[in-house]
Amino acid sequence: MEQQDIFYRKSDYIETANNNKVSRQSVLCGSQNIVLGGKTIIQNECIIRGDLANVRFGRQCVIGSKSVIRPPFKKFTKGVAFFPFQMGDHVMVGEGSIVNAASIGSYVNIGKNVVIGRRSFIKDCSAIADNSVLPPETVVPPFTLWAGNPAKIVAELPESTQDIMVDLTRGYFHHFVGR
Amino acid sequence: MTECEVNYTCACGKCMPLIHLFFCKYCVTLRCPKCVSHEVDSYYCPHCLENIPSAEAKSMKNKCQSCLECPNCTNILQVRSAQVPMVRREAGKVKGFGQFKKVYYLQCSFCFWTTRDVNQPDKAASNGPWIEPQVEDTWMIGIINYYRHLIQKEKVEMEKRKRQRRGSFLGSLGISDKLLPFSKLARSSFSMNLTGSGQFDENVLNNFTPVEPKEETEPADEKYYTNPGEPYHYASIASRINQPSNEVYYACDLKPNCTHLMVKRSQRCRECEHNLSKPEFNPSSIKFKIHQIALRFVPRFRIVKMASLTSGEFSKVQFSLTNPTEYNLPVELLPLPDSHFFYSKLTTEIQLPSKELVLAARDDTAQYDTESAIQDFDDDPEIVVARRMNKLTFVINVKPLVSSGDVTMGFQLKYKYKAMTPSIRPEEQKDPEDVNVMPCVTVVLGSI
Repeated sequence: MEQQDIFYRKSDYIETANNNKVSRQSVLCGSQNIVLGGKTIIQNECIIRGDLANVRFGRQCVIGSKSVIRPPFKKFTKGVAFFPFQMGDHVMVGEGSIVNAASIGSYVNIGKNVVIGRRSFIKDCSAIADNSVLPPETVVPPFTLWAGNPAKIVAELPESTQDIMVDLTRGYFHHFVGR
Repeated sequence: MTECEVNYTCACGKCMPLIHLFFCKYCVTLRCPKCVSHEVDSYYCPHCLENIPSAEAKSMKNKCQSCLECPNCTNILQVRSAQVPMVRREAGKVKGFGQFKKVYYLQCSFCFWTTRDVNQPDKAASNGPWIEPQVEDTWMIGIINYYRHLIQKEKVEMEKRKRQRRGSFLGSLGISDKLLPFSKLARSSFSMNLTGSGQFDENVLNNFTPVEPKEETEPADEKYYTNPGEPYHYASIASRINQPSNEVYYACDLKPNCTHLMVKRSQRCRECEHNLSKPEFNPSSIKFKIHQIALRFVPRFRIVKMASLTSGEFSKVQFSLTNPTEYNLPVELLPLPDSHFFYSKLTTEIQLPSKELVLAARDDTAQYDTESAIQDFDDDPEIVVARRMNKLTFVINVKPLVSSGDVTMGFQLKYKYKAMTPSIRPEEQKDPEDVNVMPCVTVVLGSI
């Protein structure tokens, strides 16, 4: 089934020159450290912690409502250090997910209510199922689907994952209509 | 409520979503993962993403020796450091503590299991060695040895039987008896070497004693009936299954497991033996050297908007077709052939478009064009609802013939595939040849 239209009030979203759509109800801490690639949607009640370290999103990402994007930290003997966070292109983050990863590749699908442990590496063309908890410092290899608490590899993704994710994120942006 | 789904029929007869299918350019047909041969290209560790040569992978029992898993939750263990005071001893007795030294141990960052929990000593270096080389059980070695000799015996017996049937085996090879060694023993060993079978020891086979089943098991200890249970002292069934060679009973005997390797696979058509998919060697790469997925060759049919379906009445259901090719593609929709297995399961009468639908060519640069390009096609406004880039939205009238249950429909797509005949010399390159492709599509529209 194709993506259906999702309507939003134009006054609730800020549209940038790069066609990024950012909800006014989202919390962007340290907005000077947040870079959006273009055609990225940040929905309402999202929290992006740019005050801790640099946060960089690729093109055509969708950050679902009530999700939290937080740069990863590492404990040292002298204290805690935060590392920059990077997200590739065509990434979907579901509602209510908490992302603490070190990096997320391109064409990644993260489900709803997912917790991604600190300093995890999510490689390109991978997926995390809804309600999963990814342990800290996990490496998610390409073309794998992770699910459960703690999340484990439950299936392999088809070779067409890249095309599916491009179609999904483009379709979402096209059907995210303001009125 | 049944989910809506669109499946394409593979050449082997299986119905699958288009995203799982491959398209063989040489047979000009769809292939599903069940009817292609899968070949292992390379082995890699899913955690450290390092390639491991196949010989090494075999010798390491398909496990990565450097990445270890928690025996409880199978999460990857991390190296942690701690400062421990050095103990001063005199004549075997502790006399005090000296300077601090750094030691390393493994910890699971999910369930916080550590190697210290199972009294595994800390290491002075961060790279271990964390796993002691396993001493193979003599009982297990005996069994393996017995089976090795049994295989040899069976091979020799089979050869003997073959020789009796065919007459002289050596004669058939064109070797005269004059050229063979004289003694009987030397002759038998010579023939065995020729056939590739080795020696076996009759004593090993005779002296082997199999495990005998017992009539009754030993009675359980009295404490299991009287003492309160301590479930955390015992290893869970999942943990025990993960360590079959250790036969762990108590949680304190659990040891870290090595991570299982994963494989990169390439797919090959079984009919023409051409590669359909071949990934790049690097484990973290998502690129392919050969990538013939059906999504890039076959128009994708999808449901756009459902109408409320009523039994015995025509409703307009919107569907879309997406053109993956770089040229305009005329597509015809034909009724499902009677021979198709889904024909008996159809529960609708459908009015397919009588004219062929022309799908616009795919243009990757079109998405950057803010002004939507005006497409000039002679469309029937009764059928075509909208066009956007290479996607065409159209209507099919659907009349369910059942009052309840799944609403299903099916049809055959007909379009022309431009088959290119590859040639090394550019002057010999022929023009693409049009080949008709007619995949069958089955659709479940939900239930009423």
